Amino acid sequence: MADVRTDVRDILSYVEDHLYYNRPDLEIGGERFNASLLMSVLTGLVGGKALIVGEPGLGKTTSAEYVGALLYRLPLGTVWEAEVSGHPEQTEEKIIGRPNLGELNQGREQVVWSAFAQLPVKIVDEINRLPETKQSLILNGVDRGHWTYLNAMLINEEFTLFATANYQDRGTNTLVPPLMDRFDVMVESKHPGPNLSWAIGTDSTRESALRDTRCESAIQEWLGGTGPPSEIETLCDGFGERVSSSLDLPTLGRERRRQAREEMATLVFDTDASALMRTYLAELTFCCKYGQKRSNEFCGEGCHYTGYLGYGVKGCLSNRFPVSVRQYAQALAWLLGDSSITVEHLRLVLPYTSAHRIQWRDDGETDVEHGPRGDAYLIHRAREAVNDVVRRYTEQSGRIREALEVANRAFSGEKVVPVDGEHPIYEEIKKDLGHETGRVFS
Amino acid sequence: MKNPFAEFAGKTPEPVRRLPMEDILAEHTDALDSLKAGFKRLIEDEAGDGLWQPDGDSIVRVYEKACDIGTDVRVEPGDIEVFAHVAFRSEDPDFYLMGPLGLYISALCNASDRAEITLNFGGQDLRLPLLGYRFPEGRRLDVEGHLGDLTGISMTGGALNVNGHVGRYLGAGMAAGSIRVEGDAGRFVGEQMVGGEIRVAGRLGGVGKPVGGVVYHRRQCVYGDPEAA
Repeated sequence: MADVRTDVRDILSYVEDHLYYNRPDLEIGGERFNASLLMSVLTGLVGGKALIVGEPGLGKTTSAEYVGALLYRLPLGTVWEAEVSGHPEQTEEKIIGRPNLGELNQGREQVVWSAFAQLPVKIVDEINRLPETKQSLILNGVDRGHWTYLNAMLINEEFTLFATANYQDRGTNTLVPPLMDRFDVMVESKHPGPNLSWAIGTDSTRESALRDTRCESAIQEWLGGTGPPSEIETLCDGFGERVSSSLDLPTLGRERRRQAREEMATLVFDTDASALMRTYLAELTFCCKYGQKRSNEFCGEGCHYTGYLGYGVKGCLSNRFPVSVRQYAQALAWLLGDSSITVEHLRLVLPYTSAHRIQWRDDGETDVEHGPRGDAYLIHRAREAVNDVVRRYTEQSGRIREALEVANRAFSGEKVVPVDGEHPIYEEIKKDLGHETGRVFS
Repeated sequence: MKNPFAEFAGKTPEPVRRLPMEDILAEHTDALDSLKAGFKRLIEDEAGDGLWQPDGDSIVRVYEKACDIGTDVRVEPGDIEVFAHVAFRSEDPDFYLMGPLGLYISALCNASDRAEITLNFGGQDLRLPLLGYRFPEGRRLDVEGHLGDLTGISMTGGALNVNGHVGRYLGAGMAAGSIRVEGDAGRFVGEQMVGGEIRVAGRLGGVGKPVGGVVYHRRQCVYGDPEAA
């Protein structure tokens, strides 16, 4: 049996060559990838949550369906069944579950969980058509895989979620920041260009390879009944065998996914990558006037830190952000066969993990929005921000690493003077060492 | 409280190189005086108002003037390195003009009769631009430390090796020769180059618009035809 990485690379190549046609727009380690497809595969691998944005009809939902089907060994029809569409009339009963009416008539309360709540691959189509008040319905489920209805609770031990969103039009709503923050990455499914677009138009056989009507019916029956959890694994394995024999393509079962995650978890950030990440976080969270960034407080004119990212943003990044960065950087390094996480991996991952989380100040740079770029505005702006921080880090990497090393010694009780510097990271290190001026202990 | 710095235990970065400047200066006093005088003459003639913009005309003009001065000042490679360190540390506003300084040092290197020159700029915060301008055939220049923008532009031959990072427009307009950068290079690598070879071992900000030659990023050829080259 091939190693898991080879299987995942085969799946990625198959989707690229046969199912989701698009141009590569990223390069790392001499390899080129399509960002939307790469982020979708990494999302499936880590059990993450991806927000895929783009114009209607550019493959946002279908790419997620293909990746979900192959990485989670589910026939395409079953993946479709687990899809929820965002619209203003959407209800909890359609998304999460409903009472078993037959049982209810007998005086017993039993919940019939939706396929969306039960299956490990979840797709929310056009999530920004859900009104803001209804977005909270899926907040907890999206975050932790905990679904509650009436007095019952369903916990997903493993799941991945893909949500698609069109750009603003008359029918869309704003995604509330807490929901946005729960997505690990945001990526754009771009137009593939006229030639690939025409190839998509002339190829009508793409999806049929991943359909398995008998397996889909059996899973549907299992979803509506009370069969043991192992039964669906058997059904999925049968689908995997059929895909393997008909397409000569591997799919991943639960055990293989677990193995992949275990391998990823062994990869550590090298010293530079760790120091860069701290530098990036310091810029986006630190405020010399108010201590930290808060969404209701703004740095005024003449702020000491106007040259850093923190000046141009509202609020600070949540603790979910470093978790997303760690998971996706580990998954990327694992996929590339690298032995540790380097600055290169971070440079690739950071724009997609930051784009939807950074709230830029409205009076920020508008020339970035209207200047030339190949990415969606938020991703482009996040990439520019990452490049700025990498440049600042490169210029003083030795000093920042020295500051962190000295801080470790100070933390261990050694009498050393913390390294001073202009960048917010130095101030944040001093705070951790209890050197903050004007510190108040209540 | 958890120690958030534990992973940096024993990870002391390489110490910043400190030069025993006084000892070194004493050995190079005569050469330094003539190098400083030559550079001040260059600034006085070409950037008397304290302003200098690196465009095509001004680069050529300053370089040619620097060549004229360079023929009067005969120095060893060690003198050039010490002069550069003195210039980087100088409080004299004339030495703030890094572009002419880069061209002046390039002219001195190009005029030297040594086939191989090594310059050690390690431990410097400032990054010298324009080093290697019009570097000639049959020569080798090895640089330890980081350099600025426009490194190795208009090279006509030879080999320029940089053990550090460089800025933007690496090898722009070069006609022949080879540049090897062990660190990162900024954007517009090989802009308008017509020949020669550039190799970047670290991160590459982006290739410009070359019209000839070959550009490698690590082992991958990112511009040009290696066979034809």
